[in-house]
Amino acid sequence: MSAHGPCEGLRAVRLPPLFLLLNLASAGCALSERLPIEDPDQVSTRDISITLAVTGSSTGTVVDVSLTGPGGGLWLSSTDDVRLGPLALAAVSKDGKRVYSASVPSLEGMLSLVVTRRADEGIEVPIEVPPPPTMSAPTGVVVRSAAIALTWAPPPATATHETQLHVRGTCIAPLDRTLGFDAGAYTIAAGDLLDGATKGASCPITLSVERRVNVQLMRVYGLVSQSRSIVVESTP
Amino acid sequence: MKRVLFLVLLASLGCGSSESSPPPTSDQVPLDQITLHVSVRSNGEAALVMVNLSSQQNSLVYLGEGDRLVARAGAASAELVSFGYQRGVLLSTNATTLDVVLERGAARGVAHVTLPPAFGLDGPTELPRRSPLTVRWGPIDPAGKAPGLRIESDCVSAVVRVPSIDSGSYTFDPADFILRTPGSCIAMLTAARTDASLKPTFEGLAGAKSSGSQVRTLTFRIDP
Repeated sequence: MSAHGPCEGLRAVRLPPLFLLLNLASAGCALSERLPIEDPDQVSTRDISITLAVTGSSTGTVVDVSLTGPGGGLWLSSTDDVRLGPLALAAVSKDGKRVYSASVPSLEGMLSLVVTRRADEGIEVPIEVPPPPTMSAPTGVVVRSAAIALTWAPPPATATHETQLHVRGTCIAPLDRTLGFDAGAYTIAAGDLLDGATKGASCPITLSVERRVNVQLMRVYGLVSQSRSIVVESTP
Repeated sequence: MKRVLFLVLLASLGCGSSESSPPPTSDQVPLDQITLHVSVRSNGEAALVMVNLSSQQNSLVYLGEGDRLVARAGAASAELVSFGYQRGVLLSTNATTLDVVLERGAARGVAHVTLPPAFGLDGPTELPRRSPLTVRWGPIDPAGKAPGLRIESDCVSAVVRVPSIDSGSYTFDPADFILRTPGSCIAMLTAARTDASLKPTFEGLAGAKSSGSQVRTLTFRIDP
C-alpha cells in the first residue's frame, strides 16, 4: 500500500483540472479535501488564477497577489518570480493565506504584472495604477447646509479608472457617489449631507476620493484602488 | 376530466371554495366601519385622485353599486371611476386641499386631504455635457422639506437626489451624470414634494389614510 494512498498519488500527477477532479472522485477522494500540492512546478500555469489587490492611500501602497491552483493558494518555487512593475513581491502568509506582497510609499502608472516560471510559461498582463487623487482641503470649517467644493489632482487624459467619492462622519449619514468622470473637482451640493443619528451636530468629516480600476485580464482578477482623504471640521 | 381531478385534489388538501371568494362590497359594510385610502398626485393644474377602501375585517373592499365616491376641490367635483380594484379620477384643480366623499343615499363619509405646498419649477432647456445643472423652484416649503429630484434619460444613468434642506434650488455637478450612450438625448427631471406628516381628517368613516404629492417635471436636452 502506498504511503500516500490513491488520492495523494493522483494529486501528484500533472493532469488537467477537470480530469484530475473526475479521477479523484472516482477514486473515492472527497472533493472538499484540501489538495496540498507539494511541488508547485507540477502545477501548470494554465491552471493558475491570479487575484490582485493594489491599495494605495496616504500611508502608502500595498500590493497583494494571490495565486490559486487546483489545490488552493500556492507559492511558486524559489526560482520563480512575481513582480508588479519595479516591485519584486515576496512570498508571505497573510491571514493564513499564501500571498505575494509588497508595501511601498507610492506606486502609479501603467505597470506589468509578471509571473516568471522556470518550469512553465509565465504570465504578463498590463495593470493600470491610477495616480493618487491628492486632495486640496477646503479652508476653515465646512458648513454642511452649503455647497462643498472639492478639488484634487486631475488624472492624465488616458486614464480609464472609475472615480468614487466617500464622505464619513459621526454626525452625518454616509455618502457614496460614483462620478461620471474625473476632472479633479466635484461639488457636494447644499443639502446633500444628511444628518446622522444626532440631528444638527458638529463633527469632523472625512472626505475621500478613490480611483478604482477593476482588473479582469486573462486569468488575472482584482481591484486597483488609489484613494486620498482629508478630514475637516463640519457644522450643520 | 383533468379539471375534476384537480378539484378533487384541492378538496382533499382542504382548500375550500370560500378561500377564493371576492372581497365584500362597500354597501355590505356600515359607513363608519370603512377606511378610505387616498392617494393624490398634483401637477399644479390637475390632481390624480386614487382611492381604495378597507374595513376592519377586510383589507380590500370593492365599491358597491349603492355607493359613490366623489372628489371635490373648491368648485371642481367629479365621481371616481373604476381602475381595477381602485377608483380614480383626474380632477382639474390647483387646490392643495380636497375632499373624497363616500356617498350612500343621504349619508356621507368624508376624508379631508391636504397636499404639500405647490411650487413652480425652472431650469435650462439645454445642458451641455460637463456643465452643472441648476434647477430652481419656489416658493420654498416653510417646513423646510425640499422636493425629491430624479433625472432620467436614455444617455445618462438615472440620478436621484433628496436634499435635506429646501433652499429653492439644487445644482447637479457635471460628474453626477454617468454616460450610458454617446450623443444627445432628452432628459426629464421630476421634482416631487411629499410630506408624510400631513395626516388626513375624516367624518362618518372608520378612518382615512392619505399620501399626497406635488409633482413637477422639466424636460431638457443633454448635448455631447
